[in-house]
Amino acid sequence: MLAFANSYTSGALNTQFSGSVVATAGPKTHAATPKPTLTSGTLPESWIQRALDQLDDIAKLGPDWDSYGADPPSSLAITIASELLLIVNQKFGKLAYEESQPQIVAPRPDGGIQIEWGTRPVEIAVHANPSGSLGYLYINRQGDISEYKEVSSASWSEVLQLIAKVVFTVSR
Amino acid sequence: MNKEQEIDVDQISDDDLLYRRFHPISLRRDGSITYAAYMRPKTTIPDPEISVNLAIKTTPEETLAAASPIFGLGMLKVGDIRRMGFTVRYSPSRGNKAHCIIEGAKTEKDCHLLAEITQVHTFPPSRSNT
Repeated sequence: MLAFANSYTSGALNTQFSGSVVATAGPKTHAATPKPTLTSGTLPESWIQRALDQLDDIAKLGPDWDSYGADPPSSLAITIASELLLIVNQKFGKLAYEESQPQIVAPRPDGGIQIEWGTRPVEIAVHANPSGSLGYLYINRQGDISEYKEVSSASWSEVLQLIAKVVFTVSR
Repeated sequence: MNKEQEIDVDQISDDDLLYRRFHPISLRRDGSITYAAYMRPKTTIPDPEISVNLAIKTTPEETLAAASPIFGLGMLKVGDIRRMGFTVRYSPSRGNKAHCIIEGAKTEKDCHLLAEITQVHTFPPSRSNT
């Protein structure tokens, strides 16, 4: 399983990302870790368009969107989240269409975006932080011992590898 | 200590139910709620004092009516919460005689465990048909 996951999260990823689907009005800064880029092309008809539409809606949220004083979503977090969704769709969507579809795409009260994949026993919640970094909560309860891993700042390759583990474990 | 406060943790039975409101964005595609529903408001930090309502002292309608009409309602069993090592404390306020606090959530894992034992009682209005 790990080897399978690795094969989808490593290798040459030096092609150009064709541009953000989501409007990004904020200042341009860079994520803390190098991220893979996507080839250009037409978006396939799949869950990705719905997810990106959701992100567009989330990007329009103002302060206090949750009525508990939340910050508005950061444009950088929106950009990072949309790129992550596009990469997951491109890399895993054809082989595991249903499982590559996120369980949730949601704003976080700090201006970040949270995206979750999988269901019990293997799940991951990835958060695109307002600063542009990625973090996650990974849960694996396949064996006798439950594994919970909370990481506040992770590399793109680490995150994509874990998403692959979740997607391809759930799809078995 | 007034009469309401005399109901302490021992008098909340394992079979008692608690209500927890959740924002529609907390609802996952599989119908469960995300652990983010148990974070402290305005932050992404686990809420050490999670506000809930004791079902025997209120109704789902009353709990929902106390907030924005966009919210849904989750339900948890006290015994399930205690088995995970958390405590439930009765903490009534002037405007809410059903108010309780779940104490002990320190990590995202804790929030995830609570989300897992939360059943959706009432879907948010915008998601009722899904």
